Amino acid sequence: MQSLLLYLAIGALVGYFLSMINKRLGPIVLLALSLYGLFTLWNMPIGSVEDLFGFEDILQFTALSKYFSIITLIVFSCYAFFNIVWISKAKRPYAFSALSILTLFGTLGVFLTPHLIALYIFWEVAVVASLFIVPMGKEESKKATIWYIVISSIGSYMFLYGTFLLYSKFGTFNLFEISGDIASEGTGFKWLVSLLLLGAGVAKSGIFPLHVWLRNVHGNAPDTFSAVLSGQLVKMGSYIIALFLGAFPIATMFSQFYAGVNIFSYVLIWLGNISILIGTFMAIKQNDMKMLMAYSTVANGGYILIGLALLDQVGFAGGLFHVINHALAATMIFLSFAAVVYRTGTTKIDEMGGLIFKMPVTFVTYLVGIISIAGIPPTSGFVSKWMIFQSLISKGMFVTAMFTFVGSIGSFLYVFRPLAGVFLGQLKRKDKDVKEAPMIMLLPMIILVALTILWGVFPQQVLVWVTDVQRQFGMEPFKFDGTVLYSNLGHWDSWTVFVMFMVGFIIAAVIYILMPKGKKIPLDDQYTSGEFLHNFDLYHYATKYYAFLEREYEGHPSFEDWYTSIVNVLKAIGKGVDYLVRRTASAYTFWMALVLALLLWVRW
Amino acid sequence: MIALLIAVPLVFAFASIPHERLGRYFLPFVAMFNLVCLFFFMHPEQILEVGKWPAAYGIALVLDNVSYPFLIFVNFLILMMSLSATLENRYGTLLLVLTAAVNGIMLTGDFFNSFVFLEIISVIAYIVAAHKDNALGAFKYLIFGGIGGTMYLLGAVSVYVKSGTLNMAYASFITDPMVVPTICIFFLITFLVELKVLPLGLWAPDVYSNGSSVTPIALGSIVTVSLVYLFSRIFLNIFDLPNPQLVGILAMVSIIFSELGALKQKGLGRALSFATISGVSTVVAALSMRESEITSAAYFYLFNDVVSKFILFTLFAYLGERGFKSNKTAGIAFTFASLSVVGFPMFAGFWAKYYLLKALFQVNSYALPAIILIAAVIEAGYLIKWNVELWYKEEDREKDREDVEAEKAEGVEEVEEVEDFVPFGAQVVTLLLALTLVVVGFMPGLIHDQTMSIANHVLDFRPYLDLILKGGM
Repeated sequence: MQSLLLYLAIGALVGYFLSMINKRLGPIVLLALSLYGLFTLWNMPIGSVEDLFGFEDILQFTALSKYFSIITLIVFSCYAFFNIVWISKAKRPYAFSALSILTLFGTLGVFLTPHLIALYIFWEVAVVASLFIVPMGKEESKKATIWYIVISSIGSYMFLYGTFLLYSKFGTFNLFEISGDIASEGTGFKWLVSLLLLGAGVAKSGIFPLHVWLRNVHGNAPDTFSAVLSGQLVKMGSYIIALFLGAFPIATMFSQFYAGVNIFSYVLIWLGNISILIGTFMAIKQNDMKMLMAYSTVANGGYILIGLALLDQVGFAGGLFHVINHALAATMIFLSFAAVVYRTGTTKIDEMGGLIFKMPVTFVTYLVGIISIAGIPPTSGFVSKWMIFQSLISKGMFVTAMFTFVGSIGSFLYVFRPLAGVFLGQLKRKDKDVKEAPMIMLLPMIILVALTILWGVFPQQVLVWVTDVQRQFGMEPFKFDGTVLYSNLGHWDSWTVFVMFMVGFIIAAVIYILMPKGKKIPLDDQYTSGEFLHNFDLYHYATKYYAFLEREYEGHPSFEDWYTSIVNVLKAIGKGVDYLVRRTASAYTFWMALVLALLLWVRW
Repeated sequence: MIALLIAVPLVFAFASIPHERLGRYFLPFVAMFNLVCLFFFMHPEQILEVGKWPAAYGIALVLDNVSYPFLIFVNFLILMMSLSATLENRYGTLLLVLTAAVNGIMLTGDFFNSFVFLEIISVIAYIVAAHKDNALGAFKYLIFGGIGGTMYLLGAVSVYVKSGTLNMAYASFITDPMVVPTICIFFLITFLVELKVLPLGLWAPDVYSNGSSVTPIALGSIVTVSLVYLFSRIFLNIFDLPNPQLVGILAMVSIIFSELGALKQKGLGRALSFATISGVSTVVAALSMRESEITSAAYFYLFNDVVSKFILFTLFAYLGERGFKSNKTAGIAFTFASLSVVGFPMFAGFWAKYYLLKALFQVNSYALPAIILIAAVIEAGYLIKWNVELWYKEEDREKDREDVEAEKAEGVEEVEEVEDFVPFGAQVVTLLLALTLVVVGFMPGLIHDQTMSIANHVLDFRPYLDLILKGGM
């Protein structure tokens, strides 16, 4: 582990200078390092302990580390592969490559250490590195960077404060040593510490009320980096949540509240509910496809949080499984968007259309991605949602189950918007000559599609990782046998379902081939019945796609506005200070000094 | 021997009067000379009784384990400034006098003598503050500083009236404990003014933001460090801090309000000035705790803050808000410095925060850490904003340049430095300091060992007393 981190740190420098020779070398270095990391960590036995730069036993390879590192490295490998071509569009290719490698260094470090200060250091490295990539995107991305750093700092400083609180009580920074003793502390202390430590996870994984940065940052960051942000960096937050919920004896630390769920988890579950609601409804509204997926990330962060907070055999496993599903799906979707933007140069849904004919592989990637996000078999997205639903229903938590169902149905709606707007419908005149993305871009997308379907049909490999985590945290592991998954309420055989789907698909294909072909007419004619049109955009059905739904919640409160107004209040106070600075002179400074002296003298 | 640290700069200052330009060239050599002396020929602990008068009657110059590292740091800063700043004719001479005075204030063991040096520093400071035609700012400083100076004099006089001696060590030994708090309040007011704790630090933003490469560094770094030394000497070593809780609260309020002031600013210079107030207020808040680990962390914090602000202010003086497109080296130094100020890992600033928070939590102090972290969030917000803006400033710059040229054509004389030119000296110095921050970020022990030793010595009054009075009167 130490050597891997060392290579990554050096790799950042090497990547920078090699990029100067040829831009494409930067992503190649990242790819090589990611594949090397994937290979080493995949084969590393769980429980290995190593020193880091002379500090003893800082690195500890837990089952959770393994699971999250593998996700990270898969995402980064695909991202690096994709970038080999895409880098030619990057604004500052040298810095972009070097900072990408540094981001990987930081995130892997986070996953590999239970030492809270080391974790914080790696965490901030990842944040700083990614922070300077974000403003390389669109014009608004500079503003987005501020959202990113402020919300991220709120989270990470909460974490730091909590860490030191724990240190002052237990005299150690090692999480696993602390977790044994924490149950006996006072209630107030336990609440405070748990909330503070989870603050970082909440901020990073875009959970309400710290979800506001995702739209700006994911929406405006460089196109391929959005894939890492949503597919990977957000998962750092999920890792922190999983780590604390797993390592701390949450169930014994807090009293039972409802359906066998303790009060702290219950609070988290409600944060998850609200995130799902906000993420879903806001995603439906977006016309920018990247911002749409950013809100979808908020909603999926909610699913993960609910799953993890359930802390039981099925729900926790479902939450963990959802992490890898969303990572893969988000990466796929953002990479396919990046490919679309690479060819068309826009992210606005209503400025595109009909790209299915021009970019079929990209379309298939997006399609599989959204099927997985929406949780439809045979993709892996179904498996994790099924597990979360099972757990919720078996506990009788119907309100939460309702939120998750609403989120699922909502996700059908919002993922359909880019599908219909970007890939289906009429091809814009300006996109007549668009070609499919280059092969190097398509390969990582195809690999991701294959993995999503593979793990949807044969989820064993992922479930082995997940149950290892559960075992290590002393939970009852999720039960599965081959492709058959068991819960309290029944079982699910993904292979059978896959076969059924395939049979249906084959029947449909046969019918399609045997039946007479439809007549091909120019696309415009379908809308206009052959009339001549002056303004095609008005007839583009992606324009105001969900107007009928958006109308229902038009005047909703905006958290972005609320937070902006808080900042404005702070600035107003600052203006007051500044006023004093500008006006101050002469006499009343003397009086001020005198009053102060008196105050000090009377020993107030 | 130790008197050379004061005498040599003073001699060269006088020598440079006939040829104004000479001072500029003397300054680096004098600073270098001081450093060489300190490293090779002077070691703590030693005492010089001026005019052979025994300590309690005459003036004594004391080089002990507290003043020694401070002297090295301050002279190092002076050396750096002499290389990086653009010194117009007279400023060389002024800064030589300043060197003498700051060295003096850190060496002297006598209240009245320290008042004299303080006043010399103040006079120089007023002139330096007026650099770049910043008369109004300098005037504000003059008023605040005047009150501060008077208070210090009152304190020194009270000490003399009550104890019959001006020697710091002896006075603390024999002054009636009943009157000590009152005397200390006089001194405290001076320090609150000079260390820029709001509301008495309201003069600072106007002075520091004048865009000079001298003012904020001479005042914000060099004078501030020497006054933090004097603050520690008087309130940690000799007397007790009066009403430490109130001082702590005042400093905490100052941290938050100065950060808010910085948040509001549209100009980089003023934002940095407010950030400086917040930095020093943090140090004061931490020092008011009077605990060795916290004190050590406070000095570490001071080190980081001073070095980072040195870089930030120097680059601001040369580049203004024109971006780093053609000045990558400067940009890297600027980014490193701002990341260090905020306290990101891999930089000295992280360890400053780490040690401070750790020490504070150990004594169960929870308010100051919260304040520091809240301030860090605000700081991160505006400093990163500036970094992003300056790094990614491309198209705007061309426009700016046209504007500037247009103004010049119209005969507006105010605009200087149209070229994005950072002098070689300043580039080397800022880069060197930025690398120092990184090196300390990886090896915090380099500084932490020193600050720990200072903290242990400063909180232990006995050795100082023994050194001066040689075990008795």
